[in-house]
Parts: sequence; structure tokens; C-alpha cells
Amino acid sequence: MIPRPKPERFRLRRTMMFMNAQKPSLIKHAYIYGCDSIMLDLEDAVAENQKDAARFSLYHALKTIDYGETEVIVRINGLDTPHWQEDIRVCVAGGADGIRIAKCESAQDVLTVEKAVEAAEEEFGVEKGRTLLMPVLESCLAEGMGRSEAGVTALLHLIAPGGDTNMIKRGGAALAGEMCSLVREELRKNSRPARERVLRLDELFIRHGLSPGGCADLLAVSYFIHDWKANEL
Amino acid sequence: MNQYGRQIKATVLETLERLGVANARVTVVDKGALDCTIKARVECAVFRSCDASAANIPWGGVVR
Repeated sequence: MIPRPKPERFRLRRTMMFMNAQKPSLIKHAYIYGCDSIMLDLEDAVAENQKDAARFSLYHALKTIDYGETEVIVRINGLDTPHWQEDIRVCVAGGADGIRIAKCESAQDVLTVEKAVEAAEEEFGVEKGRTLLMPVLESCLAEGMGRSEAGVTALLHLIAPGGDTNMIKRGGAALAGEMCSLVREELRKNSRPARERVLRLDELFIRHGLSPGGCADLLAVSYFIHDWKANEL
Repeated sequence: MNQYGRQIKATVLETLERLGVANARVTVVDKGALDCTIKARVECAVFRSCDASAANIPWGGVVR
């Protein structure tokens, strides 16, 4: 067994190389490319009927290959699949540095995974809390959007229900309501509107002198909660 | 059998013995995979044949 150093919670993660956990021939020399982390994927890269085989491959790859300074994270299957519990067992038993939770939507998801990880750490005699968890809380960020792009989409979803007093004060209840229903209509067509659609809305808001200040505050709070969770967990 | 063939066969037999398989017909098609891959494939095949590959694998026990 390769004794891996204890994972560090805070470290450079500029580049993460994703690889199919089923292919040790790729994994064995991945560290030479100098990425900060490698991400061994049990989720999308692995066919539904090969999840079991991928775990056997992953286990031996974790135990046999020397990754040097490269951090080794495993992306597990989502909590809505029958695979995630065994995924966690193999990650902990194999000594992965961390687990990336796929399609993580809520703090509860993180707690569920944490509980399973702790049980596995107990089962396999691994130091409690050694295995890091990496949730990607917001769906937009999980879909690969950048931070500001995800923020724009989140802002539209905050505006849509209406009730932003800043908009009502600036433009009156009728105009504010009308603009909110425009946003709702846009989101009904596409819950992640394209940039040009968003810019069109932006122009419209500017023309009416409307500023969704209340929603902007909520957006700031969303960022704060996201960052806080990311640092806490 | 050449060097790699002997090595592959030894790894396969060693893995089967570790898993307590005494009687089995095993066909191996391999062009020189890593030892850890051969072990993983044999283990998965054995667990699948017992319909036990999906959960509660004894990681670190007989699978090591």
C-alpha cells in the first residue's frame, strides 16, 4: 500500500484532471502532467452497468499507484442513484484524499454523505475526518458555469417571484409586476437563459430605470452562504 | 507461454486462490494490463458470478 500523506483542506487546486476511474492505464502516470488534483470519476465517465467493475479498478488504483504530491479526489455517483454508498466505502477503504459529491443540491446532501463517510472510516479503521468532502452546492456552479454567470442566473430566479420593494418604489407596483412576469416568462422558456436574452432584459430594466436592489442583496447573501459553506465543510 | 503470459496467469491464479475459488472455468483475454487491473477484473468477475458485485464488497479483506 502507498502511504498517502494526510489530505490538506486548504491547498492549491488550480487544475483538476478528470479521468475515468475504470482506466488504471490512464491513471497510473497522470501525476506527471503536474495538475494539482486528479479527479477519478465513478459518475458520468462510467457506464451504468460497469459501476461495480469501476470500483474494483479504483480500489487497486488507489492502493497501488504512487500519486506523489497530487491530490486524489473521487467523484461519486449522485445521491439519487443506487451506487453512492458503495462508492463511499471504496473511496474510504482505498484512501482517497477526498470525495466530490455529484449533483449536490443542499446542505442535507452533504450531511448525508458525511455520515456515510464517517461510518466507512469507522469500518475500515481510517482516522475520522481524514476524507475531505467537496460539495458543489449551487446547481449552476455544478453545471460548470462561472461564478458571475451562475450569479446572473441566480439573480433572475430571485427577481421572478416579485416583491422586490426597490423595484416597486422606483417604477410603481404595476411596472415592477410587469417586469417580474417578463423574467418569469423568460425562465419558463429556459431556466438558464442565454447571455443575449439576459442582456435584453438588462436593457429593458435600465430603460425603465428599475434596479432590483432587494434581489441584489439576496444575491450577495447567496454568495456569502455559498462561500461560508465551502470553507466550513 | 512467454514471460507476460506466465505473469498474467500467476496473477489470475493468485487472485482466485485469495478469493477462495477452487473450481471455475476462467477465460482471460489480456494484452499486458497492469497487475492491479488484472486483479480488479478477476475480482469483479468472481463477485459478479455470485451476484454480489454491487454492494458490501470486503475492501481490504479478501479484496486487497
